Amino acid sequence: MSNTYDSMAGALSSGNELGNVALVSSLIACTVWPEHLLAPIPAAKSGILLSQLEKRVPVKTVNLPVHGAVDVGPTNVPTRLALIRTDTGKMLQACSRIHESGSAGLRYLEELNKQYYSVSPATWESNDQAAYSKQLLDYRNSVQNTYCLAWETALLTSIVAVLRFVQLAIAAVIAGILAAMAIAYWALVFIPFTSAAAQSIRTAGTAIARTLPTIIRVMDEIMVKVGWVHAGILGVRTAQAAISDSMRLDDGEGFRVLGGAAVEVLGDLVKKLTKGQVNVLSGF
Amino acid sequence: MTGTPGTRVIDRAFIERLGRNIEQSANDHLPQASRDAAQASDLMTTAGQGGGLLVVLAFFFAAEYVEEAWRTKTGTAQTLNEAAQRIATRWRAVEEGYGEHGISV
Repeated sequence: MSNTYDSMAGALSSGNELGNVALVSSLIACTVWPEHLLAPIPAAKSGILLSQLEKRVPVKTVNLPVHGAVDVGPTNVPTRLALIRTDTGKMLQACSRIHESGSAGLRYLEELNKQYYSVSPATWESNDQAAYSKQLLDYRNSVQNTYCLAWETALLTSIVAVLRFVQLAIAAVIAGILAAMAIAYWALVFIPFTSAAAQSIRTAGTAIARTLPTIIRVMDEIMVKVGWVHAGILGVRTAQAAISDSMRLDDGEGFRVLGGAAVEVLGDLVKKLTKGQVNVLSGF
Repeated sequence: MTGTPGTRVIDRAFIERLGRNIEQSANDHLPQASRDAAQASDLMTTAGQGGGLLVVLAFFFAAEYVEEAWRTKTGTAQTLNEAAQRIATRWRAVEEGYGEHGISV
């Protein structure tokens, strides 16, 4: 069964390639504008871990053959681009699956409603019916809660995936332009009597090379804020679902499941984070 | 839905069917729902940076909860079915003259 997220996954499947294009292009561009692209980009608002990296790894001055002394920092353009590489198609496929999980729950809920409303004075009327119907109604409401949580998870995460795709696309375009200019520059450098033309390309590209770190920094800062909002809403909603399950089913089941989910995520954290090379440096 | 004092209507076949249907519907839908949530978590682990560590962790947390919640709800549906069968059995005992007992779910 397919849904909107599957279509989005198809449309945004090139996120991974865009990330790679941006990274490789930035490396090519570094050969012409290293003073702008290898310098550290301020990371104070780019997440706790990236800002720690900036603080702990010192900036080094490196002597490059053509360009002379250049400052190289740990949070430079290629590093930042390497860190934000994301398979947005896979992210949206994950959204699609969790949405489908909610949809299966919704189908069950519809059948459960039929069962609940089939109880009538003509078929069952006694004290135990009242008690049973109350349990059934609470159970039905807990099913509704879980399917809503699944759908909200899909929706919120898909918004992050789309924003990440836009970030990767912009980075790929700008870095791609710089890479093309870099290739033209080096071609002209090695052709006799065209060094003036080569310099004019370098001068023209300098404005773009100066802009790229700023764009990356601003977009990263936005993504960090979006990440906090996403995690905040989803964390609260998951906790709400657990509290509601515990109250409705009256047996602490929701809290047990919540604890189980937390233990499962923490226990599996290393496996989960290394399996798909989900890096821990940005977005936190 | 509450009973009217003084009246009692017991369709034992209906009560038995109600319990069975609740459990059957759960078995028809919830295992797949649980598997979908597990797959979502697996897919996210292969998504690279995935929108940042916090986004990925919040997603894992919610997906794990949903996966486990569907599993426990399948168990609750079974409990509701067992309760319905127990109620029907007790009413049969009452009708067959073994005396009226307090019946609770």
